[in-house]
Amino acid sequence: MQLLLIAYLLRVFLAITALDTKIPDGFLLTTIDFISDLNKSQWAYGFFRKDINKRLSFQFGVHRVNGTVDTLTIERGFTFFAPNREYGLRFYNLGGSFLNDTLSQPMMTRSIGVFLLNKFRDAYQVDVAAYFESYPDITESCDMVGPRRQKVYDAVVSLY
Amino acid sequence: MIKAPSSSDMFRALAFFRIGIGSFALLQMSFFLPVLADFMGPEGWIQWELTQAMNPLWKIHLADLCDWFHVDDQAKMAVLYVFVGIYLLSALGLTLGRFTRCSALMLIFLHSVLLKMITPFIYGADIGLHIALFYLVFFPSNHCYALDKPQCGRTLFPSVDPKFALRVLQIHLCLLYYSAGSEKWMQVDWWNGNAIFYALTNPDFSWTDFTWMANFRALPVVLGVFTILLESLYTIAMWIPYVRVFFLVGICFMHLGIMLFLQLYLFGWIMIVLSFSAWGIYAWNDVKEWSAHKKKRYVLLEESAIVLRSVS
Repeated sequence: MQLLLIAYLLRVFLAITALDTKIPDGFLLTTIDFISDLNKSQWAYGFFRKDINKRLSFQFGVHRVNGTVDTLTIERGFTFFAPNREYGLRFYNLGGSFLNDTLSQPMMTRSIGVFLLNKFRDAYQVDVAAYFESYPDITESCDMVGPRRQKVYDAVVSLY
Repeated sequence: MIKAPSSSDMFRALAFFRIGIGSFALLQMSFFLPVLADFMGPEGWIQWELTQAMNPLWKIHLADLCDWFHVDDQAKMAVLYVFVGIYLLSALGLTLGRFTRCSALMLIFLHSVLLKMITPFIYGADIGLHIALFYLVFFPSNHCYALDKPQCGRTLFPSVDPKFALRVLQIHLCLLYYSAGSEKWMQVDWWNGNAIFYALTNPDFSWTDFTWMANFRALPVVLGVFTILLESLYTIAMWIPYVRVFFLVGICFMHLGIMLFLQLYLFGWIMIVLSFSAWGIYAWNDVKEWSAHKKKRYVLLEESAIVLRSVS
């Protein structure tokens, strides 16, 4: 048991020093990946190490059968969908996953759209737009510079 | 010379670790309960098919279990409720110290499934919990404040020595803070206060307007430098008697600040539990030793005053 825990700490050390990237592809790496995925020893601890001023925000346009369009954002979503802070907080990570995983972006958008269509029974179409936002630093904030916003993805999920 | 903590003290520290982590798991799941279907349901924000596809094959998803047992679509939510029920029971077992290591083993398996179901929503607190559960499978955390009775040597597999267990936790935390601190050390934003400013004004974390901080530039700079020093020196300072008391208090204050100002309540909680479990008993020993030393000095001074008085 002691050896196992020592090996575990060694794996943590390899992960935080990025030495595990030096291990050549093959059986050894696959085995290490498999074990470290089970106990999360491959996790590189960051705590806001980078990109804190950037985020991905979502905007949903919910088209209803009576002709109105409700615009929901992640910020409004926190209070609109989330009964508690812990749940709302996780949207921040959803943005990160969305940005990093370009392959699943269309599927994730579709999934979110379908979820909203199920939630709003009188809606027939949902527009999902993802915006990449960066916020001003201290100096820019003194100069009254606002956040920069750029649309990175949009899609329409429709019932018909 | 400071005495090392006794075995019973170490068992108490490990019991604190178990209770802290078990109650954390209970609380985290209770936060999920009102939005279970939205979050983890088959038709939630991110549907099961997608989260299933996002992960390697070896990871088990609840959808896999449903497929194996031929559960139809209507019954999938019921399976989810059963899953959550077992999760809560295991967390309760761990907190109360009943079937402790079996509960920890069960919980780590269920947590792996849970992590697969909420892959795009995972953050540091989830990983912290997973790592702590892994340790609880091996640590002897049921010797104190637990419902488990001594089982006449009958165990699932042998646990490790309490001193070794605490050492592993301590080294892990040192590696963790070294990693976090050294990364920050190399970033200008942490030295000029921008990182603190960004974190406090990021709409995902901020609960009130912190842009006024731009007019008091020294404040974010001080907070940034305090964080860098605390995290990077943690690895060394925690091994130095007396000094570690200040670092433990400092790190707890830092995480309390994160809890209050960035609203990362669970993340703050788990980090405080980890640090306190690993170092709390050592820091408490330092404080006791320091106060005993102070008392001894006071008695010596009083005695020498009496001697002086009698001579004069």
